[in-house]
Amino acid sequence: MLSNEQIESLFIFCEKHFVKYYEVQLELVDHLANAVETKMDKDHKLTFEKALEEVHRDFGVMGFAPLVSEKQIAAEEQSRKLFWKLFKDQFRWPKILGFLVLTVAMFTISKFDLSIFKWSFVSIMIAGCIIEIYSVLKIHILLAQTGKKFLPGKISEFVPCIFFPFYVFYFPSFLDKNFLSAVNSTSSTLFYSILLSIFIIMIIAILQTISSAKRSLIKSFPEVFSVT
Amino acid sequence: MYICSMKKSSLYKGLLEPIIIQLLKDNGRMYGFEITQKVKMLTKNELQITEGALYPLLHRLEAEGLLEVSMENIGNRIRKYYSLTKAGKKETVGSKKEIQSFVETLQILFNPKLA
Repeated sequence: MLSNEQIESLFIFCEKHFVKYYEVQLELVDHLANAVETKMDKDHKLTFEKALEEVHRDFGVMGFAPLVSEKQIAAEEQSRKLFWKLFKDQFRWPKILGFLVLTVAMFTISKFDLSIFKWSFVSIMIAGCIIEIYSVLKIHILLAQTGKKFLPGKISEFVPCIFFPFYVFYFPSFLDKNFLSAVNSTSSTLFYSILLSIFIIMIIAILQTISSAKRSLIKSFPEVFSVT
Repeated sequence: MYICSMKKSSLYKGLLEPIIIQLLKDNGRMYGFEITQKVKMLTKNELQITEGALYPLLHRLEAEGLLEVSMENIGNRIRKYYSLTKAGKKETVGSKKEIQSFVETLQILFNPKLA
């Protein structure tokens, strides 16, 4: 069995070879340690450094790079899948009631007073943006406190992509001077009511995705997160 | 690219996924290095899975929800174990059938008398 210092040097070795994510480092360190131990058991004259060099060579000319990039792609896919699953869950019974209530409430407001409808929409969009930034920052701070880099940190890259169409295509139209006359029809107010309900549901799904990523990190790496 | 090293490597291309799924079905949970050694042992060194092929595949299967992971502290390091999820267990049935039909097809082509 390798000593604590040798295990520590394996972590440093991974860092030097551009393996920055802790999840990948952990798995690689165990693999390298096993492979080095097997080589050293077979040849007692073999030093740790020499055995490590041989093991690293077995990874091929690309070294650890394919492993890291594939893990990154897999983790991003996992987050995206989870988000869409949680989003679609909101349209199943009985959760769909929430969507229907929101849509009907917005639509009723629009029939009552279009100006209140407009400012409700704008306020909810701004609040949504603040909630997104806050929740992404929160997970970043949690990860930063560990002093390690984790793959769920990449959630912050995919959140803006999801909300991009809302803020670029729909938000500016609400700030337009001619908005009230443009939406003065049942079909357009119904469209914006549905759109806003979808937006709120997306915010809920994002919060659930982030909280699920956080729970999974704490469960998988209790030794790292117990000190934060 | 880096599927499996050793001779006849190209013949094993595409079979890595069912091999891993079958191994996990038979052994419950396994870690990366253990999988490489088990394959080497079972095939008497005929097939060696390279790390560059194994880990990306394990990570992809995990992202697809076919595998789940658990961590275990084994002294001075942490070990990541892979095991099949419910969906992964379902997949074993399908992949086994696919391989059987693949072998039968090969037999028809290469040994028509036996087929």
